[in-house]
Amino acid sequence: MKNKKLFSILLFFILLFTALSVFAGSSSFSEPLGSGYWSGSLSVGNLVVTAEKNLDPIPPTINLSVGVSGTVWFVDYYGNEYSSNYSEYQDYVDGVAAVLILPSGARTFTRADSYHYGYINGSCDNNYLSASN
Amino acid sequence: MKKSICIILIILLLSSLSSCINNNEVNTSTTPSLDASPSLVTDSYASLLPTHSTSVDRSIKYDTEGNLDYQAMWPEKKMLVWLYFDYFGILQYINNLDNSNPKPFSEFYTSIVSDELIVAYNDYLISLGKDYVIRFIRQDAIVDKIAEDYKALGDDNNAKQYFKFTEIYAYYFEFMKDMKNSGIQADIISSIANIKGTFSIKENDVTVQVNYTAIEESGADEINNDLLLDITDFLLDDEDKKLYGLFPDEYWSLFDKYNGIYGVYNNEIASSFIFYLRNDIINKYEVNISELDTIDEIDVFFDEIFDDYKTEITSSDLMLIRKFLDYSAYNELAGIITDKSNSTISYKYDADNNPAVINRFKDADYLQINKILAKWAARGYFNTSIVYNTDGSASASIAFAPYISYIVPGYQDYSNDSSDDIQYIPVEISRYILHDSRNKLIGIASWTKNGESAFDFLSTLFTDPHLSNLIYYGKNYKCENGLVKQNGNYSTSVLTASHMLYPNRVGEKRISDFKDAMSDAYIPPNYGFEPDITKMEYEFEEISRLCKEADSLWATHSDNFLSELENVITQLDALGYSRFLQDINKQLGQYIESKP
Repeated sequence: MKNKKLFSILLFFILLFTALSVFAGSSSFSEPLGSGYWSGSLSVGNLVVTAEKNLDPIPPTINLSVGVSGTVWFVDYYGNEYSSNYSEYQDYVDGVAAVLILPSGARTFTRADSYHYGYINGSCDNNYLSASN
Repeated sequence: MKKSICIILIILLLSSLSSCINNNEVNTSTTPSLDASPSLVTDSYASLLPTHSTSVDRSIKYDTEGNLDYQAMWPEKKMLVWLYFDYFGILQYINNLDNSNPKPFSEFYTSIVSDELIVAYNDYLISLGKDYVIRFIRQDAIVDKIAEDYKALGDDNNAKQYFKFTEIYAYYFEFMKDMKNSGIQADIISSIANIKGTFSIKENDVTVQVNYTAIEESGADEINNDLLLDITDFLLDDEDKKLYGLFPDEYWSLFDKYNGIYGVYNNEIASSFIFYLRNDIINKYEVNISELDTIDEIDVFFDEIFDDYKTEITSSDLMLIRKFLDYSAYNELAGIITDKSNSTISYKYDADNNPAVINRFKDADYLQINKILAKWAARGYFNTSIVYNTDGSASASIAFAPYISYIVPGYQDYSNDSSDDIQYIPVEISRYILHDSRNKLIGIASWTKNGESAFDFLSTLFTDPHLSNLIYYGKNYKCENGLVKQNGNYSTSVLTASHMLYPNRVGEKRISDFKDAMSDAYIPPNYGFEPDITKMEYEFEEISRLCKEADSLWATHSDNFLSELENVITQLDALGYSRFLQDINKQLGQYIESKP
């Protein structure tokens, strides 16, 4: 229950930032995985990068794991480029999201990539996404 | 529970979709009641737009191998070869190699410059009367060796991380050296941008963060290994000095340490601090925004707004000013420049207008601006958004409340990233500050046989906006009211002059202002100066920590900022900070004396 609540909060932020990132570059996938489906997306805006991963298992649900990790790139006001990595992983939940905020002193995110990992009842898969602002 | 979440999600999705479609409608924000009314933008820039001819589609001729046939397309025209490295494109290909069924490069990779774009680009050069066209180097010429070595790393994921983030760039450098040694034609060279950051590796199942610097100074290796041509004679040729005259003399002095000028640093050139204020606030308070051009005036105006919106601001429903700047960056508004790579040293012009090293923590202007910031923090103008790092210093603000204003260096309108469809109106609160970052060098290959044409192209690239905008936005871009209303392709920025790009957001820097900005640019007191602390014996780590702590005091100890600053000053004095600054001041004096 606690995880579901956390997930709904995360989803709220995902949707919030999806709405904020109208002009952002994004990419996504949605595929069957074991006894269910899994999906993931990556969105790059000027201020925010969101990478998320969801499972939609068909009951009975025994074991679930989701993870998303990757790299974001951003530039400062001198054109210097920076990269930074991120990672979110949880067991027994059906979704995680990484929400990255542009650091102070940086001008804008330029691009991001994400590795998505999903596990449903013994079946697992990986997927890679990339997006530019 | 799940059902209700689904319903909420559907409503949110529909509302965000609706906001995407109707971007210009009145905002429906519930907090606070500040009506947004988009302002009109007049088209005063039409006469300043480039007079390039509209691109005409024409059939592309290919040779027997399926490549663009330059000879057939532009008969009797010289061909200049431009070397560049598409890091992100190649990185994606390398990542693809880890898949169970990796695609070959030819199927996987799409060039950042399409054949259609090359035709439009070169046709434009011909329309300018040039006797040359540009051939952009194909990335498959560079990638084979990279892929081979990456695959050889097998399952060593840590080695692969080092390879992708630090070692991959060296292949471009070696590629250029091979071309030179083999006498293969190259004319224009784009160096890789300065890049650093973090990546992660695993040691005994524990994730370890690795800080890396892949490129410390763009173009330095190319210059030191004679891959770039000294263009000083071309620049100073009386027949074409438009490139030389575009920037202040100090800008070219960035090459002094190399005893020659080896290209043009494309480092965003300069930026001024801009104060952005919501348009609805301007209308409500009947503000003449051009009069809000100092931090003291902004402070007085904030007092008035705070009185009206105290409830919303103190309850975190509204932010009077959103923080986008590093803590020491605000000091630049008081004319105090702090070394970017070394937060311990600050510079200022003295009463006789001579550059000097100062102890900023005892400087009256420093104290004044930090007092204002402390007041803003104490009253909650920045909302409750300040995040503290483990070392006690404050870091990025994470704020989701609506905000009324913000300050950034350079034009950057974040309207589209705010929760409301609100316009922010910019006003410059500093002169243009010239950047001395040696970054994104574009120069001429030392082994070129087309030196004059290559220089003519370099000069055109940095002075003609169409070339850069064509590459960045694509051949069908339209510039209206000084704006290109579409996203550009950041990967192509290695092939552009950054100051020539038209903005795609309201309020960003207009190209028509560039010459004016350069003619009145503020040259930082430490411009081009690099302090040498290698032979000094001070506790730099502790001094640096204390300096950062002091710069953050307005946020971390806004209620007793002055007394806390006294504590830090005492600790710095005990570490010999004053003597250290005197030593650096001597170096600065010698540097200034040595300048021609």
